[in-house]
Amino acid sequence: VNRIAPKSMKSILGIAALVVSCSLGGILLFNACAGQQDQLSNQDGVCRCPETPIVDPALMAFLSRARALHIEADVKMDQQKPEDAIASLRKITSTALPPGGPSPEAQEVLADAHARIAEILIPLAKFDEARQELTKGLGHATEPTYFRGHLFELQGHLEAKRAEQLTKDGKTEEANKARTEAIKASEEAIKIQELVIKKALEPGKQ
Amino acid sequence: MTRDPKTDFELPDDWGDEAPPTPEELAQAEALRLALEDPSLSDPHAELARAIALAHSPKDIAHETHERLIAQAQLKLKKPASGGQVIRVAFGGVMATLALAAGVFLFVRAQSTITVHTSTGLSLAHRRSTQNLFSEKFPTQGGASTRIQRIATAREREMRSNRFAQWGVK
Repeated sequence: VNRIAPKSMKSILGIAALVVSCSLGGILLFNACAGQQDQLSNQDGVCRCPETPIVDPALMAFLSRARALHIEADVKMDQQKPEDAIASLRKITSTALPPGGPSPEAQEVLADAHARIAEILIPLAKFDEARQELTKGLGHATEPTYFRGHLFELQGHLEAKRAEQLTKDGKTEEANKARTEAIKASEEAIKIQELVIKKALEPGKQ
Repeated sequence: MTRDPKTDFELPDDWGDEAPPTPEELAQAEALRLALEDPSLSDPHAELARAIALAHSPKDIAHETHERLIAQAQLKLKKPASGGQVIRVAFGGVMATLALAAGVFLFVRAQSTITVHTSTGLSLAHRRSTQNLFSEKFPTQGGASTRIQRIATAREREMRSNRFAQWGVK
């Protein structure tokens, strides 16, 4: 025991030194990466705020998947299979947002996917379901953008189509209410679009 | 012939052309003689003489000597074990040092990368609204596929730029 113990002690010390050094190296690297994030800068997509994540593979994976599913929906619409197209689009809307922090573009893609589902549902006279999609879409597009404006425009279109249907069904009063809603939604869409244009024309903006 | 009183050597009376031996030479000669008689006495000349004699007519080594040589050889064989231990410990130490050095290197490199980004103006594209990709309002019907295509293409380009910037490529 007396002969083995010192050797074991040496081995243990060696391993301990290795572990400590590796840990220290890892901590140094982590701090370096964290420091790098803190010192980034920001101008129109070029950010100084460390809380805004960069365009990274996680975001691209989300966007690429959404693009592929839109193409799939195109094919199904060409095949006159709107329900299948909606199923493809709902794979987008049920996807978790890309990890790593806030992602306005992912929110807009979700909003647009809801809008497209509503677009498909309106000609099928599934007005309530379409309205739910538009409401969900507005939850993703909270800023005045074309995405939000488009959702309100579709809401106006939905109410107009519903008014047509109600008129056909002889429900004149409800049809009038739907028309009023259609005008209201369309006006909101116009207001948002004007805001977007105004914002775009501000000095220093596109 | 005379006899040396210290060494009891018989010395010639006439040395001819040679000088007679000095007392030191006589003392060395006596020491060599004693060393040749008793191998336990250390003398380089005696060892050389014995080696020459054994090379000319080798003798069996004594059993005790044989045992002693084997014991010495076995002792040498055991040394690599402790040497291996030393190697393991040394290896651990070297690896630990290398790991630490790698950490420091990466730390310094990351810091210098930050400097490059801030000093050269190389910056990274961040997640943001895609509004500026669209210059006019969306059509009431259709166009969603075109929009996602435009968004994905723009962000793909930016992600590539980000990677190059992170690698320090200008």
